[in-house]
Amino acid sequence: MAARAEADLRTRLQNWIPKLVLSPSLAMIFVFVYGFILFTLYLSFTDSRMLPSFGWVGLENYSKLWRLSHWEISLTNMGIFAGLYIVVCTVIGLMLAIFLDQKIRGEGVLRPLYLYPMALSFIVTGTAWKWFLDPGIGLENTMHLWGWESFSFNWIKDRNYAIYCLVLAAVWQTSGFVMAMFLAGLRGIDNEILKAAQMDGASNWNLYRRIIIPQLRPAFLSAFVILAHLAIKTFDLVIALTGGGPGRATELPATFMYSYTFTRNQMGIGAASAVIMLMTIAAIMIPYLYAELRERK
Amino acid sequence: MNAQIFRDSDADRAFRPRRFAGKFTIYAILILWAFICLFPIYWTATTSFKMAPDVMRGNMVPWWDFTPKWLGWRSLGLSPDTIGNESTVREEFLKRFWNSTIVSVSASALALILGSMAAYGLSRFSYRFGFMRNSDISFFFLSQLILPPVVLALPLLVLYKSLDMLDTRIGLILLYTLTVLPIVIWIMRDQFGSIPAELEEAALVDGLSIWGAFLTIVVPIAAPGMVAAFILSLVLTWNEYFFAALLTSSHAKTLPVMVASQTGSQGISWWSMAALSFAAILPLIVIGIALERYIIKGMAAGAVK
Repeated sequence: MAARAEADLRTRLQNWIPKLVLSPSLAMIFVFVYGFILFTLYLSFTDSRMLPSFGWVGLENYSKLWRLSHWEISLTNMGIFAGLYIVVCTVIGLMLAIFLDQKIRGEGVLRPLYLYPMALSFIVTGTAWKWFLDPGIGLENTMHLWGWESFSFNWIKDRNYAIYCLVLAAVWQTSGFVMAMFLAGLRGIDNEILKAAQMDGASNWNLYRRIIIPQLRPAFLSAFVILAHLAIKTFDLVIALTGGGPGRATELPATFMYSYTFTRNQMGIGAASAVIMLMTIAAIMIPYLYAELRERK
Repeated sequence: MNAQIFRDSDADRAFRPRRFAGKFTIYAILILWAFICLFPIYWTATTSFKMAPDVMRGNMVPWWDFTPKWLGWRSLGLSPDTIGNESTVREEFLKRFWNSTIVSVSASALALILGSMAAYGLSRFSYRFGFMRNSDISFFFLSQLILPPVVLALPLLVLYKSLDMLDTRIGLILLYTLTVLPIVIWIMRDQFGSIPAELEEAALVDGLSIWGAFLTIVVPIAAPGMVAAFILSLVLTWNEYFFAALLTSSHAKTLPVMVASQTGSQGISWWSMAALSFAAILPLIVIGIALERYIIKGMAAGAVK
């Protein structure tokens, strides 16, 4: 009798296992991610300032936000930053991947080296970048000491150029990662086609331009999507290099949100800007992720 | 794993297409980029041994154009002559280091346990959760990766304030577990998916329970993927700055926050900054020797950071 009850319990437990293993993660994500998103969305419609309050103001925060020159600047900066960052990273990443694919000796050594910048915290590697970009002691100073007196490199102090410093550092950080994605793509291409093309006398340039690069379309797509969402998330980089300055020359949406919410106590506006960032990322990512999953099924 | 991602099929390997004319140029560019990647790390490491004039003069090569001094490390209390003495800076540093270690290790371990379970479920059982099937649930997890942290910041701050969890390590651990969970699930789902279910069926026939089969048969085979997921989580949580800066102030502050607050002050003493920075990335550099295949596995295979 007892043995049977025990067996019963065991079967029931076994039947519950599928639910048991999945539910903690599902519940966590459900409450803390999706619940929190809804809360942020809700806050963006309230008159919250330093503390959340629940006076409903409708779309007022959004209309206020779009009138702020500060927000406009951060969006313009984002446009410049994201555009350059995506293009330059893709070009460098693709170039490195193609070169590494030429049956290079020491590929196993080079590949991990290229990934180092991505694996280390930019807050920390930013120290070296600060030095490099600082006109007083970095590159400019070094060039002067080497005898190139007229050399000038003070972008970090210049309102019009500071944003390009961010691009430089960001490209340094992620190009290796993009390289890895393209390299995996290149290795997946069947060389039979290439052999045939070569027999027909295609030059190396044409081989790449007409056959290989078109076949990398999925890799281009994932590179674009990942770089775009990384660009929108960029925060560490600004904090480590410029703190948003000089003036507001390197303010990005993430830093805008941070300063409005946590230092200027405009929680409603901060929440509104967070919602807009989320929408932008979702618009880029969700179709991609969904297609990706469909394919894998 | 890594070998699989970058492996060219054997037929492709034997094939030698015509090469670019300038093999030399290719090597030069590749090595130049490797140099660019490593230079900031090299600079940080060497500068921690420099004196002020060496930094100003841009001296780069130790023993050739400057003599290494323990200046930077002395200011951290970690040079050979100060290591025996009391040092408040060192204590501060060690405290932050310990915070970072404990937070990232516990969060990664927790995420690995929860994530492996969920991933195992997703790869072995069919779910119907309202309209959601397995692939929709995976999507539900994965979509969280793209979330800009700023969206979570506000509610999190409010919640932690009311729970009195601000500036506690446990708060940070739970949050980080949440942020790396999707990556773990993603990696582990692939990993479990590659193990044939017949193995466990055989074990079940032999009288093992589902748990027994999971622990004795599946986990050992999936171990490489688990290590990958763990290391990747470790790297991400070790580096995390945004939430750490937001949620911690004095007690639970982690290393990146400490480094960032040092840079903020005017008149940086580069040598001590460099020593601090280098000490903060050293664990990752050490892990990094074995890191590549794991980071690739996690990042390129899942194709999302």
